[in-house]
Amino acid sequence: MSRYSAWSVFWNGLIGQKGWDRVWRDPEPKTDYDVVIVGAGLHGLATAYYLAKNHGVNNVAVLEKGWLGSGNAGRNTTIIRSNYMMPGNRQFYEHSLKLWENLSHELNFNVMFSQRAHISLFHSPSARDAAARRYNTMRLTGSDGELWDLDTLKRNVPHLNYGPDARFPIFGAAVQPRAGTARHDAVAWGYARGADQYGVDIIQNCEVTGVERSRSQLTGLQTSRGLIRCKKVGFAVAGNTSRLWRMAELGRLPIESHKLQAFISEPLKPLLDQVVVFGVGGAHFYISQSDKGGMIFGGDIDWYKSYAQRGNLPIVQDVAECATSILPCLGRVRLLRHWAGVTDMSMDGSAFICKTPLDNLFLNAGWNYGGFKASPASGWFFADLIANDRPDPVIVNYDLQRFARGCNIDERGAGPDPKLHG
Amino acid sequence: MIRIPCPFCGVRDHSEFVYGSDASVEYPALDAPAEAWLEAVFQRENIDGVQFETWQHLHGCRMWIVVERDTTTHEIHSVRPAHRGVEQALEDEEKVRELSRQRDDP
Repeated sequence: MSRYSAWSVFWNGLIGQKGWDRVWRDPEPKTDYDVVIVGAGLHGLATAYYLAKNHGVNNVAVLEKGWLGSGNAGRNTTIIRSNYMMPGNRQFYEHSLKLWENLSHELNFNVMFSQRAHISLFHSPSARDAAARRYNTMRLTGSDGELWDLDTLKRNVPHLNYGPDARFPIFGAAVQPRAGTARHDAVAWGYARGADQYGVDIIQNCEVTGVERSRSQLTGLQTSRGLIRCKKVGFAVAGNTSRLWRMAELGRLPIESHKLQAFISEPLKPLLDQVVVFGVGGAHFYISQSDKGGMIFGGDIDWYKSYAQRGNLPIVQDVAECATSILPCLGRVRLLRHWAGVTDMSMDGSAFICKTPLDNLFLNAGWNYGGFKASPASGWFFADLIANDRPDPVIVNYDLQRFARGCNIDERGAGPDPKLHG
Repeated sequence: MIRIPCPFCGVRDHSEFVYGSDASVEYPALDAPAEAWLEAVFQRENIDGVQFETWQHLHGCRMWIVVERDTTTHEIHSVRPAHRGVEQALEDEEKVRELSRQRDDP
């Protein structure tokens, strides 16, 4: 498989673009693998990549019921940041941001990671104090951030509603300059290509329909393309985790499936250079502008449990109201598309990368509404867990037993109600 | 928009309601062991199909109701008041109405 370079782009320009190879193979599934990852989303593909690269485990298959990256990988707003405050989360997301910073070089694939800064608006002195506390806490573990006063904010983001009649008067902002966005498809393709080059089989249109297990082991997976036996299995199917969990007869999980919508407008000329976010009272909103010019934005989850990959109208109205209240200049911009993904909402808003009641089954789940930014570190630590059979100290509390220990990682302090962690 | 037939107000848009939670959860006695509470508070069936769930008609009669709904299609199969006593009262009222109808219209 060829390496991409400026030279290869130039050369293919001369020969009519005929020199490009397949980006990854399309193999038939074998009957035996050392490790099978279920779910070829960003987390599953990253796991396979790091299993092969960091741990030398090459006899790996990634099973995908649809097309690669056709679930939540393509249903998000591509925001990347590490401004988390809770122990565990801080280290995890900072590690993820560091991986993002080198990901295009690492994968030899342009994931279009753009460190355009993440700007969280605040609307009162007490919100500023809370932001200062958060950013000071982040600095303890080597992450970074700044507080901007109103003048600095106005200079950098001139189009926000600073008027005296603003629905949400702006006071200032907490800013993480290293945060930003990336191209979601490129991340999936880059990890798929990277894993494939190490010999990982990526098997699309291969749905897991049943699980064969003994008392303490998962011995094989029945799939729409035949029985696949495996020494170790990793589930990375956020949104559908509970369904697979039931198939393996493992009972209940601290997870509910909800849906999260996102929106993109028609393309505009350059308007917004950063990711802008605000959450105050009943409003919750985040927006950025894609390289094609579309305004990508979203808000809360749909509030009721659902496995349907389609959104509902009240949230469309909600988000549109947020958009026009903070950026009134968007009032006459038309929506191009909107979509919804099914998210694993966990009981404390944090994820699971952990061992399970079965010795050779490992779980990667519970990414709530923020799995995109996590995907490199998620793959990194999940691969480490599968290869070494023990969690890294960073993810030691990302297990299913943390509620029994009283170690909830509740970033929002919202309590054990999945819908409130959106 | 999901249309929910409120037992008190009739069919209304779901934006008038707020979703509560999984209605199949039964809370244990206050002095039950911690494990029982752990199960009730944190563990969920997360059904992909028909489930019972609580909603509150917040912007209407403010009553809590139990809705039987398909989480894959959003189709609603049944709705009843969340509190059995209220449900009984509604049924009793219906019986009284029925009796008075029979009396008036022999």
